[in-house]
Amino acid sequence: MKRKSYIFEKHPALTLVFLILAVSIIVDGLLGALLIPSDFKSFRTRHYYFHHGLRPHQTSFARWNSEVYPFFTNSLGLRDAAPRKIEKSVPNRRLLIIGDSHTEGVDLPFEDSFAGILANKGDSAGMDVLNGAVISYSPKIYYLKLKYLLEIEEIKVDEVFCLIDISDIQNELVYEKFDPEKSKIVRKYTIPLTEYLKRNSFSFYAINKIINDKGRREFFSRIEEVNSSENTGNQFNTSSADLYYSFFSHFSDKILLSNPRFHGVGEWLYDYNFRKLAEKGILLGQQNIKQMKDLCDRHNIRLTIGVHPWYSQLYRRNPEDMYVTSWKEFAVKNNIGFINLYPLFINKENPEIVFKMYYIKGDNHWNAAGHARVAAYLSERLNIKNCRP
Amino acid sequence: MRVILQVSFYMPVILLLSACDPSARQREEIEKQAAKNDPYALAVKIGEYVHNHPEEMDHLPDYARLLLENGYYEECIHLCNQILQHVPGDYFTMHTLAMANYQLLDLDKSLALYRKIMTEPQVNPLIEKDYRQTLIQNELYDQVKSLDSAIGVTGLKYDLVLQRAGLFLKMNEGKAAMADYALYLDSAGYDRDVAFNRFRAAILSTWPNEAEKEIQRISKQSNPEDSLNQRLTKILADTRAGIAAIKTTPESPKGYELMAKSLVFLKLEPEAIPYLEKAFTLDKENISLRLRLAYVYAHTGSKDEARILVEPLILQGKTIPAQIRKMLE
Repeated sequence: MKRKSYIFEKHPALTLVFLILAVSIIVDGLLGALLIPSDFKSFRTRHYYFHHGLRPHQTSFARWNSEVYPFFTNSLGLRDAAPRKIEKSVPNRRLLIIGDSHTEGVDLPFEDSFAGILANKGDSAGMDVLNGAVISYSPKIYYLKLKYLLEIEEIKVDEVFCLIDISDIQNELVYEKFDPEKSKIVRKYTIPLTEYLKRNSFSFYAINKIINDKGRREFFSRIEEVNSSENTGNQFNTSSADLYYSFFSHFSDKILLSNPRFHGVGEWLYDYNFRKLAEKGILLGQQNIKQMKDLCDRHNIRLTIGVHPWYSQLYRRNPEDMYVTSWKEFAVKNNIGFINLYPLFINKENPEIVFKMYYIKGDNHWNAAGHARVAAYLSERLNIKNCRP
Repeated sequence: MRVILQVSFYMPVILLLSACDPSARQREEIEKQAAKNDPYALAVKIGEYVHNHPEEMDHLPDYARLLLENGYYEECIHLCNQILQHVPGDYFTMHTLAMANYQLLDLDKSLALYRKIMTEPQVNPLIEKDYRQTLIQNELYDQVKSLDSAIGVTGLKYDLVLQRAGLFLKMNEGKAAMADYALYLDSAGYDRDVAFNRFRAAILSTWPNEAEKEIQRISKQSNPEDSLNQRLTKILADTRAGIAAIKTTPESPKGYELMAKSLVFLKLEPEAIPYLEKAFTLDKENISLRLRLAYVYAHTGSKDEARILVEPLILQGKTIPAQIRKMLE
């Protein structure tokens, strides 16, 4: 009687290849689960449309300085007090806050960040406050993310508050060539796949690490030079520098990247050699905010922008410097609301005492006391009270 | 025999388990970092330990103290609050928390903690001393706040800014003092005393490049042969050498001694104490260091501490400098 032949006997070579591949994938996955270290940024991800963002429904921990703090995201991948589903529209007035690391609230639990304090206040006042900020965003990404939320996710928003940061003038140069439409369909699927492999495949993780380590080392050495200058208040620590580095991965201007002063963006406005670059960054930023304004007008949304100082500005004690004036005039010209947070930190008080009390040690980001000060001011200016319909 | 067999059977298992204890391994790493004099790496290791083992309270009070000593005040405050939630009556941690709040000028919180500690029947004299220092600091800071209000009402009047700078210097807030002195010098014009005080503030803040700027400013305005320039240049050189020595050989007393020397020259004796104390802990046999620390203690009113240092030398029949003897009488 003729014995039934199995597919494995018919194609021994193919079977062997398949077997080796299957075992490799399993071993790779197991090694990944065991050996890929927790880096406190697994909730962050690249994005095909708005460059980078946060993964939805995350319950995780982040680290900016030395402390580890809780980090949650909602169904839209926005930082929140806890994972929750965000409805497309709500009966209450809805405010979307957008900005970069200052607005994301690095180094603090959500509840202690100004966006978290406003969200909490909004809850009791019948107002829905969402925080769309992520580190290293700038006007181009604010615009793209807002467009994505309004037109792809179809979220209804009544008001947008966008907190513009000094670092945006540098980020705008970096993102100048970023085109969300370029091979959009391919990137929509390849980015999530590579991000998944980075988190789960040991071989992918290891190769990626080797490739990145060299560039990262060079980058850190430049940042060290910025750190060693005494008067910038701009001290990167290892974890924040690591994130900072990853957002320059596609920036090709090696000459600028090699210049330590390029990384001390707080001083650009006062440095003759960087003044032109700063002006270009502001111009690019304003073009993108103008697009944001047009988008808001199409959706009947009120737009307000705000600016705030770094150590370099505190030290110079001018609450209405060229940077503030430039954004203020732009806002008035384009019928955009404007909030200047400089006087909150640049006033009769000594700048070093302000820096000590309201900023993270050696960092341009606010600590909990700084966020509380900003939240108290913004809740008045953004009228977060008695909002129930 | 049976017991020996049982013990030898379980011993490898026990050894293996202790080797795999991640908490012990992390504690070892913290100890290593503490010895390396790398505050950021140390704070990161402590942050990870607290994150991974939040319930292991035994070592946390010491780690909170390490954060305080390395300038991570906010992290120290968070950790102390975490400890006090579990052990509300831990006076060691309350003292650490009071000192961290002191550093961040949250003096009301600091004083409230000291008052709580002071209700104890027996209080460590060191805590009492810190309490007294906090009361003085609070008084000075109240004066700063009054000046802030006056500046708010009248605008930036340079004499008020100058007064405030002087208060900051007394409060050991060197950078704040430097900022106000700089504002005065840049706006109201050159003043030799103000430039000298800004130099003192720069040395206090271990900011030698700024100290050098003041020497240049004074040189431009005065005779190059002015003895002040030469003295300041020497102090600056000692300070730079001290900073470098502390960075490269933190286990040697040399750098701390040099820093203390500069501060004593600049009549900043209270600020020299931590440097001299550190140097003395690294070289307890050094008689000259012992006498210098005793002198600074006596000079700043801590006569009991000065006597404790001097007594062993008297018993050994060593000669005590007349200046110190006179201060201790």
